[in-house]
Amino acid sequence: MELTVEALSFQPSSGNWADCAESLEEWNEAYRRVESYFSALRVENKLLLSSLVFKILGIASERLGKEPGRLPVELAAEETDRLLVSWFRRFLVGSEVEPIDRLSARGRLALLLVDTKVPWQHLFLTDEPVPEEVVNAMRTAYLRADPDFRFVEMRPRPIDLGIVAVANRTFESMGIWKTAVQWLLWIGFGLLLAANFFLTR
Amino acid sequence: MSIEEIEERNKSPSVDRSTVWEAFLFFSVTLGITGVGTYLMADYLWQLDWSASSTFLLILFTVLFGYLAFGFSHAFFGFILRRFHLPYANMPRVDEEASRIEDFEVHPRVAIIIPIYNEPVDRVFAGIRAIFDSVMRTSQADAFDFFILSDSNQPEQWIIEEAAWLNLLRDPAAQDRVFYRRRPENIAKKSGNVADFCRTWGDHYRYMIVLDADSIMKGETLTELYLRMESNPRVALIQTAPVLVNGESLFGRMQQFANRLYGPVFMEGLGFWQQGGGNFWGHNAIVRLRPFMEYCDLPELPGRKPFGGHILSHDFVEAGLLRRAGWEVWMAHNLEGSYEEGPQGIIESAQRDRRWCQGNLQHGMLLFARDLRGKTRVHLANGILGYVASPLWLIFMGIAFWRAYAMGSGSFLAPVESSGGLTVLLMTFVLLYAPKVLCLIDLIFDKERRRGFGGFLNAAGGAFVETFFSALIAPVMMLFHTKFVIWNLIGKTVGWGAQRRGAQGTSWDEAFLAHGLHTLLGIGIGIFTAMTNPVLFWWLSPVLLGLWLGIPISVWTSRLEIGLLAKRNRLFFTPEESTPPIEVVEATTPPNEPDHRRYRGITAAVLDPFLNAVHVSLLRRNRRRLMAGQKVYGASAAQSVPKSGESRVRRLLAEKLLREGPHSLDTAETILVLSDIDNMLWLHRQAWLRPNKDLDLWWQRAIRETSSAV
Repeated sequence: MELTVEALSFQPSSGNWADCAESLEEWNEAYRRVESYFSALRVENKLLLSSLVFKILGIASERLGKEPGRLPVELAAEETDRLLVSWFRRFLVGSEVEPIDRLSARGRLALLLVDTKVPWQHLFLTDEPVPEEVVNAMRTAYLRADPDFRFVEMRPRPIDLGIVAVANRTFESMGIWKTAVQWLLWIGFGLLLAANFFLTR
Repeated sequence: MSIEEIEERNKSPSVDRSTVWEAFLFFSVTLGITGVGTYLMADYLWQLDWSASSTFLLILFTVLFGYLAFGFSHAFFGFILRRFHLPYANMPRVDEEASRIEDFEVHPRVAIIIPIYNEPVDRVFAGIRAIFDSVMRTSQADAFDFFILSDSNQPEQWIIEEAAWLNLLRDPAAQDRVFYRRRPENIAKKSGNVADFCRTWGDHYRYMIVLDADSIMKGETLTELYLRMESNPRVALIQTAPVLVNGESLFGRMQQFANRLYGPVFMEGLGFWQQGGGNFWGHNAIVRLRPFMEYCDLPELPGRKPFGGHILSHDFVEAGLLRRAGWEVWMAHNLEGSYEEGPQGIIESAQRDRRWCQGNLQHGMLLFARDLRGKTRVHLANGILGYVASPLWLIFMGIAFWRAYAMGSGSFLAPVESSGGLTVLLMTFVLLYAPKVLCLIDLIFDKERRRGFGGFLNAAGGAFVETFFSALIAPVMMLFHTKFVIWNLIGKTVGWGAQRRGAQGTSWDEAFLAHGLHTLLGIGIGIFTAMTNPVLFWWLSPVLLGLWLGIPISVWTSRLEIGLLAKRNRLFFTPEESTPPIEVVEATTPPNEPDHRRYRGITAAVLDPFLNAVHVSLLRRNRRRLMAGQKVYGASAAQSVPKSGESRVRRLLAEKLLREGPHSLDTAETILVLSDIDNMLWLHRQAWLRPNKDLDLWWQRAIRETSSAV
């Protein structure tokens, strides 16, 4: 189902937004924020995107009348979040008790996973009934980062190092083996030079 | 045949007897050559009046000459086997009628695992994509799953890996087939990473194929490995011989040319003596999981680093332990379609050697371990000698030239005036260069390979230039290896750094730092000998030349433009360049332009609604894994899961991230924020809900550009 131009509502619920110069920039910021978020959600249908932005800005405008201390961008972002979460609630099982942020993440994940399987953009955030196919796809969408766990204990088998183990224990028991080895190496190097010198006379 | 029956048969000592004559023949020839060389050297030293230094020289000569003879024997046997098409080095092939292991509860599925650690994401995932597509084109595609096992500990790297994995999943065929897991703690490095996979999912699969971050394998090669394992139930591991590809610099191209020209002959010789007592190189190999999980969980070695602690070069030891348990380990040297990339400069090569040196010297602890098979000990000793040979050569040359200096010889021909001296010198040259000649002769008889190298003359020209450069580089590598051996002996350990890949090029500063001392040493010895004994100076000049030119050679051979010039002129041309395998082409052609914007990963993890959801989902999954698997993971699991008391600190850090930008947090703080599920959910909502005045400029700008955040 494609979005029709008729379906778009360009009429804000309240007409007082962007009617003076100082609030214009604030509403522009709100507009950009909402548009950016839907772009980030890969809403590719520009008509749909514009319609959603207008719808949300309209509701935000209404709220601004009741909450004059707030900024348009805050209200618009909150409305976007609210609309999104309530839309996800229509599909996701157990959504009534789930905290909003978790529900939102689960919904976004479901949208991502069904993206290649069923078209959803024309239904996005609308009040229209959603086909069973989409609902099922959303409900069963599950990201498998890995197969089910089937834990197995692995235990290292000891390796008998033979003569090396005896040597190592001896060095360890000296407690200063590292220093001793360093000294021995330097002494050995010196002796090597000295021996070489005398032996080649 | 059941797995228990196979294990019972593995305990039988008769397993190796059928193949023992090949090893006997091989080492008889090696020892024969060494014996003749040692006798001639002793005779020569005797003529010069025997002294105590002669004894010392003779011992060193025997070891080093023996090592050369060992290398020569590989080429000698490899050449004979290849030219006469003798089947002695071949592992058992696929046999559809062969008995199968029946009592596995699992479908014989294969997990292709790719452990990664802060590697270039674009290249790694392009490689995985290429291998995945190649596997999908085979008839056995259903048998394979892919696991990207990340140990990356840089926050940016982590998120970009997740985004790249997400990109892979856009192909529905990859969903439920390509998996990603990141370990919060890098316990026991790569071997710990692989062990973690085995503990968690190993029971799902009969085999795993281990790949490196730069590995590329053809689907048909992977399938062939799988079928060979299925047909040979006593085989626990098959190692392929990866071919070096994508050499961009002159050094990289030289390495891949040498690997491609000389490799097949040497590998045939190696396969001849090792038979089913082969080795594991850690990647591009298929492993039977059940024996691997049973026998290859490595214990820590006693004592302190660098010899004690976790076994660094675990692969050799794992092969040894499988052999100890009676399983066969083979090398499929005649199986094509297995590739890897090599270092692109001398310094990168030395950095890699430093790690390998530490790992190989650590094997000294295991050399005399009880019940290891003889061939395993040869593999371990060969690895050790590969590095220890350098200081031995240095000492040998030092004594020999000091003797010559002390004798004050005035004749340029003094060392070869006697027939004994001349014979020893000639024998040494034969052992050094005859393998290369044999490989070129082998090429004459192989029309297809010859064409791949751009004709015989092109290959011969390449071999000549490669030999010249190798001779120049050899003294520098000798000093590097000597330094690494000494550092290890005095207890200096190596950190776990990601390998640098691609021809980024060595800067002059880096080269001065790395080779400055080599050059000074070369100049010092040169001036000293030139002033005191000019004859000695001329004899030393090939070594000195390499040291003097160390810095420019290091810089120039690492440069991409010189490598490209060589490629245009078909210098060091290889069959993979004449007919590039599609997998290699795809792996080196990332789908998108590399994006190097700072903090792009963290920005996307917070702002991108999908990536944020995926990141949180992965965190949740990993937390569940760690909690459910505490029994197998031990205490580390609990440490990795965020504690409730830390939540306040995490929230403060998240607030700082929003108000002051990603640059305000250090790596540990960023990891802390990114590891917390609640924080990541909170950050996503807050970043979008807050007005600009409550966000750092970074986020304001990122929100404006958000459609291109990932």
